[in-house]
Amino acid sequence: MTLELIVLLVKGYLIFTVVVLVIYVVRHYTLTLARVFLPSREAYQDWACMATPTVTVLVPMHNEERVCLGVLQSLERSSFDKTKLQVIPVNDRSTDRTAKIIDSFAKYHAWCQPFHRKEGKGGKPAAMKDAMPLVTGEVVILFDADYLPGVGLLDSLVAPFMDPEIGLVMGRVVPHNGSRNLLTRLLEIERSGGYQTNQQARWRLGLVPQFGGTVGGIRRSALETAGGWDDGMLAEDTDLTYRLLALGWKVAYINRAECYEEVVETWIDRRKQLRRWAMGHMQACMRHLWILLRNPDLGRWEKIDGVLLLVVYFVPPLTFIAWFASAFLLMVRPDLFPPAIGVMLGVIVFFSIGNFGTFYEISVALALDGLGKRQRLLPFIGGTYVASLFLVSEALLRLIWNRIRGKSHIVWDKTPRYRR
Amino acid sequence: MTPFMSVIMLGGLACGMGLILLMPAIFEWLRPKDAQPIAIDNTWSRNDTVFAQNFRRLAGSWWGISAHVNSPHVGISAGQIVDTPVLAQNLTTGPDVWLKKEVWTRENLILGSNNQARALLSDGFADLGSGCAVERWVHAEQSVSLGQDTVVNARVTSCEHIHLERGCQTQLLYAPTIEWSGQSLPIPIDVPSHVRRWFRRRKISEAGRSWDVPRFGTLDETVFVNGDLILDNEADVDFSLVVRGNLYIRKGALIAGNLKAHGDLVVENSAVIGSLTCKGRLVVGAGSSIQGCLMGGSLVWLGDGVIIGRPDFLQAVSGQCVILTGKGVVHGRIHAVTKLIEVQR
Repeated sequence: MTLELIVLLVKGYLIFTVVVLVIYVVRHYTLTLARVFLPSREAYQDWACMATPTVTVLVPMHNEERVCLGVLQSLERSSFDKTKLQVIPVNDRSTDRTAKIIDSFAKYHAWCQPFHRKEGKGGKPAAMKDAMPLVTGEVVILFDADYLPGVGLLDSLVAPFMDPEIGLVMGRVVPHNGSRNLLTRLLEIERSGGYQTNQQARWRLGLVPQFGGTVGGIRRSALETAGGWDDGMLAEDTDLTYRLLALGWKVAYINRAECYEEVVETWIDRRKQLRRWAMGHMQACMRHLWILLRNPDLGRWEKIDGVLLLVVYFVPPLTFIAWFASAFLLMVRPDLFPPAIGVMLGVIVFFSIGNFGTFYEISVALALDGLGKRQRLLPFIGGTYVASLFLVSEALLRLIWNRIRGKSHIVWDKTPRYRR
Repeated sequence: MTPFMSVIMLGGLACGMGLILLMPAIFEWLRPKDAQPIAIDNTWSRNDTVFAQNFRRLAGSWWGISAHVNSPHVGISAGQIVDTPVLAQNLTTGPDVWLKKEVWTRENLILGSNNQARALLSDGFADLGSGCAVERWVHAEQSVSLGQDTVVNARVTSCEHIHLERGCQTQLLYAPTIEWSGQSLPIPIDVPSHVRRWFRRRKISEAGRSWDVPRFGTLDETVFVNGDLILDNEADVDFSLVVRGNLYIRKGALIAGNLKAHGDLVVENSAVIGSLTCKGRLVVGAGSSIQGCLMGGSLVWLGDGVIIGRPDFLQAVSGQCVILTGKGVVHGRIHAVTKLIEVQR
């Protein structure tokens, strides 16, 4: 009787997993087709240079001596009106030469006003929270220290804020060290799929583009109304996206607001980064899922997309557990499985439609970017998918373990820099 | 053959086939052919004179940057077809001339009626007669004047002033001052006297307001309204508004804030200091003055006497299709994203 109940539960779990996977496959295809066939939405680029509120750029820096000057020099070249610009390099407890470098830069640039944080909680949101009293701009733009904003980028990111409904604006991240090794090349094509296809399609469909916490802007009044930065969150960007959505603001994605970044170059760093993202995302999911579902101001499709975005990091552990569940079922009730021909058909259907959703998304992005030859690397993405399956599942276990131990604070793993 | 050997052989075959499938990937990994970072240009979308600039560079390579112009004044008589690029100090054409290649005048350019051209660049002014058709673009360092029913397929730009007569069509206009003279028409949308409003929640009471705006969920300076909204005559608003329905602003209103409507947005003879955005039709009635950018989801309709922006504070008007009626002025850019800017006949 007990075994039958367990079998029933496992069957239910497997059916649920299949349904979830099918939903994500449909989502991938829908977004890919929408990216290709739907016309573009509001032309906020038309407003660039014409609508200029005051802007504060926050650049959190923790031991960034290799890269901090690069981002400041890039901002110096920006075409944005410097009389309306305030740049705050947030030196977050650096122990290297970061403070010295930004201070010497600020000496010759009045718009650059460094903030030195000597103590306090670690992590980007905590640093930005402490820097907020210094912010004077109506719009806050964020860059990580390894970013290299182009000449017209600030104008492009600021323009959508003239639309009073826009609370957050997200630009596109483009790796500049993609050619370094196989990992960086795979991350580069993953970014292409994520921004050129996924984010852009969600924007075109009027869904919920995600604010990524860098190469993006926030309406300061919206941030303050939402309660400012939460330094307890690992994924402060996702948290902010959903907090502002709950208050009625929208997120704009500007595909042409492109900015170079540095992707991680080693698998160990990638592991740490992915784990941090996954834990942060799951943390945000637990906080916002119910609020999102009850939000009366969001449309049905916005809610569906918001939920799918919020729970996306739960899919790998779900799949991972499903493998074991299938194996268990195969051992205890082999009669439940279809004959070999059924299995083969299932595998063929899965590999020809289901499994390729993500690949189509990336392929379309690469084609739109004019980088067709990079598609040859796509088979390796399958490998990174399997790796991320384990890493994200591990992140979930860590999160659960932290909760069991009552440990609310999660350690922030800083992403290393590689610039030579 | 033992079952074990069979499994080994099948496994080997599968691995071999997998390896064949991976060959392109492995080659691209070991000998990259496409590994350069994606090129980024953040400025292209705001460079309205990009075609003219590129042509100037290109023409420089054809003729030399400081090309000596032998003929100070070139005249092309009626009905001629010119199939070479033209570089002249001044150029005047008669009617029905076909300029098959680009034209660059170092001073002024005057085209007669019903001319056809590919692209026109003038370092002085450019004056196009009625019924002209330009395949690509027109740019002048001084003013550009388009005669009646002239069509420029891509864009018309000027560093000073553009004037359009009725029936002109193009896709993008950019100049510190853009003026048009078209037929004056009443606004194409009827403004209702009453609208439906509803609230999901009300957070702020309305005491002390001279106008009747249902408010809910204020977020600092932005007020979100569910349903349609009419701002009555003489309304005085000093914050931004997001209306999840249609927004009608009656005559004499003064708005200092950005406005957005999820439906249509109609402004009747009012002043707005801020941007106007809507997902439906954006109609700016006669005599309105807007100091901000305009963006309509479908049609943008500008009435008689409308003034958008200032010469020292350029603004942008964009929509799928832009209709200009009566006489009005836009300081900045007008952009029809998919269809046309047309001056009402």
